[in-house]
Amino acid sequence: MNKPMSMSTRTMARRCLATAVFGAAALVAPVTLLAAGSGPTPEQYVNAANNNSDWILPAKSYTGNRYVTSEQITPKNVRHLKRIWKFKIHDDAGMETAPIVWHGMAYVTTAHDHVYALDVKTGKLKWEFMDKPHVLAFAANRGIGLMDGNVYVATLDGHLIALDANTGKKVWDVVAAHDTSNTFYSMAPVPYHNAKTGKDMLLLGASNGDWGGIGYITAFDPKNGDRIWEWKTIPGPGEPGHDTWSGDSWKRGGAAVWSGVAIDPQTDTLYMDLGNPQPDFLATERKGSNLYSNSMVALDISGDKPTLKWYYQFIPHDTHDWDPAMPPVLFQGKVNGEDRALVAAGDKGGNFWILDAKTGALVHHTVVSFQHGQNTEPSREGNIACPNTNGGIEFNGGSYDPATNTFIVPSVNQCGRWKSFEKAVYISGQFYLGGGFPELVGPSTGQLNAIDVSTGVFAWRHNYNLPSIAGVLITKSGLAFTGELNGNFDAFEAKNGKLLWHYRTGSPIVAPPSAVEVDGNEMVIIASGKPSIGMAGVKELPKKDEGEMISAFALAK
Amino acid sequence: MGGAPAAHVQPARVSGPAALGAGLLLACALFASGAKAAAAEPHSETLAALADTRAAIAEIVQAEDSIVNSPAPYRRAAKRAINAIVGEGDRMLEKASGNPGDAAGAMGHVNTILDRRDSPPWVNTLHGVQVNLGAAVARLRDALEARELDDYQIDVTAALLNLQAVVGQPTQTGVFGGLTGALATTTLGVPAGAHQVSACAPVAEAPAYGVKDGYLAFVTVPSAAGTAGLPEDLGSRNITLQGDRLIVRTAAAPLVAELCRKQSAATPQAQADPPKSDPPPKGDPPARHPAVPPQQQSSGQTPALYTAAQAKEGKKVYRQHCLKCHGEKLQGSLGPALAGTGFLQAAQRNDWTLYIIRYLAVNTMPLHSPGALSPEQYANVLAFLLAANCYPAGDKPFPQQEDAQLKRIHLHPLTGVKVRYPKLGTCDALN
Repeated sequence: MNKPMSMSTRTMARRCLATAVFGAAALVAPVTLLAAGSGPTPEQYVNAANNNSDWILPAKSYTGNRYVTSEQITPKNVRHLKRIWKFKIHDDAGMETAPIVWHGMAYVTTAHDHVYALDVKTGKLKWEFMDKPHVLAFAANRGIGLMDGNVYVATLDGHLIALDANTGKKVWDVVAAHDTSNTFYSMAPVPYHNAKTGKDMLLLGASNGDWGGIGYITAFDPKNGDRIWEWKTIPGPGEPGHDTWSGDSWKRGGAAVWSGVAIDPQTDTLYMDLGNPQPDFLATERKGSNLYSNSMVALDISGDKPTLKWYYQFIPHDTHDWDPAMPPVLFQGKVNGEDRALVAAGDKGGNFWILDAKTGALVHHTVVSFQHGQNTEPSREGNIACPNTNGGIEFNGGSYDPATNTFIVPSVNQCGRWKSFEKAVYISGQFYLGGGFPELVGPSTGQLNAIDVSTGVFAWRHNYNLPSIAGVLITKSGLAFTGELNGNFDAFEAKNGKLLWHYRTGSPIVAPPSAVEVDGNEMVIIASGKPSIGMAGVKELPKKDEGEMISAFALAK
Repeated sequence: MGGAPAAHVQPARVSGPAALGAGLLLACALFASGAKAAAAEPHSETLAALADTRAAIAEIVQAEDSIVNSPAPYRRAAKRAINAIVGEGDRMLEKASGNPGDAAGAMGHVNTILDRRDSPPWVNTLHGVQVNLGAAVARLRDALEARELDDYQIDVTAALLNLQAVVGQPTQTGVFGGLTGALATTTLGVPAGAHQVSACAPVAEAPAYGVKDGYLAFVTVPSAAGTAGLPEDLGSRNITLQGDRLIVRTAAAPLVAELCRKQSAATPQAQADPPKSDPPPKGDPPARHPAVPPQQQSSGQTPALYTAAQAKEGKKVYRQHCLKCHGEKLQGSLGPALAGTGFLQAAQRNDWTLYIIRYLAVNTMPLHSPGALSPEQYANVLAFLLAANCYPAGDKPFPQQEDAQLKRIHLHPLTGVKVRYPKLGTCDALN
């Protein structure tokens, strides 16, 4: 059945993109525009790290480091933390988001692109937006972007939608992904103001790196969803690095931008970790190092179009989908007594990396997960490698603690048996792997690792009997908050890894914690729900969970 | 709306091939396009959309051919092309530049045709047309902002590509056919009031349009001496003389022959008397209208691909191995939906055959232990998937081994089936 088609030309052209064979590029003009309302200013975005009453970017600030200078909750009093509200969510998947908090409103997304606006003080619902997108492969959404009085959500069917931040009413809705048959969105749109060109933009990477696409990140105009620029992650013919792909393999090479990005506003540098090459498990037809898959890239975004400053490839010619899932974290750390601008990364192959943020030179490489058979390609008969595809360091990554000069990051120990196919067949709208996802072998466990930035050696480790993939929040008072797949929300002492407090939320935690001060009270917030799909096969998981929810904690009075 | 479609018709000259004799020419005055002013007559609307699109192309090409240094003529051409596409009700119209098209614009005509509830085979084609029109407008608007002629040319070249896709080719069905393809191969090519016959039946009268399930397979005319133009270019190289009739077959003819063959194969009589396997047989196979069992009637031409017993067993397999990611009602949870309107639409969009679905299930599922089920379990769970998608059960079990026959089964939303869970569009679930 077709919907009646008597909309305006523009809306219609956008709506129908999904059925297109000839994918249309930048489509036409704004639909309707509400007057630019309230929203953080460019200065407030640049200074987000120092504002404790709001949480306006996915990882608090452009650095990607989940760190707050609040000192109310301390190692001494953390045992008095109580849940002050809980908001139950009706979706049916993992919660991978930290709420964006602005002027008392907390905006939360769920895996199937529902958006909830809550009163951050009470957890009471102000408005909700229910999208019902087609799910390509798995459901995940990692949050919203906030600009011009709008809430921006990027969806599982490739739309970018603007909602009125006060009412939740749709302002505009565009098909933003080029090919919705193999591309969707899971990351949060990141608002950015280019001071040199004076342009506001939403930075959004496309998830298409396991379904036969080529990765790209797009800067969208927040007024109407028009494209300002786009940067493709695989060099085309004639570009440097193109010869790292044999034949035509680059055309479905992957290297998606899917988890999150970091920005240095001083230099207008965008840091991204690009995903795995495709077909994931069958590499015979893509000989070469396959740039810029499994690489961190630093882009100069000060001009009209981005230019590549440097790249560092973590795993050349990956054959196990061990992409650097962790979003980059920028920090000033001490190495051999010297203060340096650094950037951290982590991959699903179980490696933690520290690079020089200016040059991309390697500073430290620390193996955090059990590794085995890493240089063996999957065979037709099947062979074992570790970590499993969804092991190592996952999409939340970790955070840096300036007080102890350590980086605290969770990791997964898990092995898999891979089987490659004889051929990789591209099927529109399906995985493009050249094999099956690996069968789990042996137990699945995890760790919380504190890595000394000075040496790249562990300062301490905490062992879990389940994989550990939630994010880490560090407070200036010396606490590290994180969550577990068994539903526990934990507070560790950052300097020694001592578990000081935990709370049973009842549902697996795969989200990052966040903290805001409301009326002078420091509040820690965590989402819990189903495990992410990568963990769904873990047999050690608790059999029951209490569903999706957001919980907020504060000190008992 | 509006315009005078007849004026836009560009008749294709059809002259008889040598084999038919030199003096043989087509007479087909009867086919002169209906050209009725009646509202929303799809045939004339399509012609009008095509005319507007060609007018837009002509504007651009004309400007390209000129030799001037001023940007004004280029900009004017882009504006006039936009006007021909968007029509006069649209905000983007720039009246001052003039409109080489009609009041409705190509977009307006296409919108009018698509404003409907059923889904004939040309709907996807016209969606493609819509998108390409939209894209062309976007390119042309970009071109208007170009400062250098080079930039202008890059944008209008892209716009021209989109517009050429809108015009399409009469030798192509589907999206690639564009408007001319839709006119040549679907019922959009049939003027209002023209005589239509089943394309599965032998050709018995002329003039007539041979149609089947929304496709136009042939046009036949009396082979009297004379010369005339067909209303549209049918893109055909296959013109046969049969008795005193000329039959011009369209690019959709092989596809329709297949549809007719499937239809007759689905009936008991046809099984007793199978059609010749070498398509297309000379003179289309006779249409059969046997009594169809009520169960098959309810699901139209959807074949029965599994047994009810398999689906029942498959439900158990699903509960144990699939439920966690795909949901109790197959509606999707951590993973994608496996049943219902959304799933079947995706299947149609991506052209998933049952062969592909089986291949994916057997080779990649369950996600964390692919290949772990027995052939019987895979067959059963696929039977359950079909049951949940309202495909009918029958006597023949779903195959446990790879089966090339499944390549012919394209999954799509079914019409005329009773849906048990209307909200999801599914027929079976765990609870």
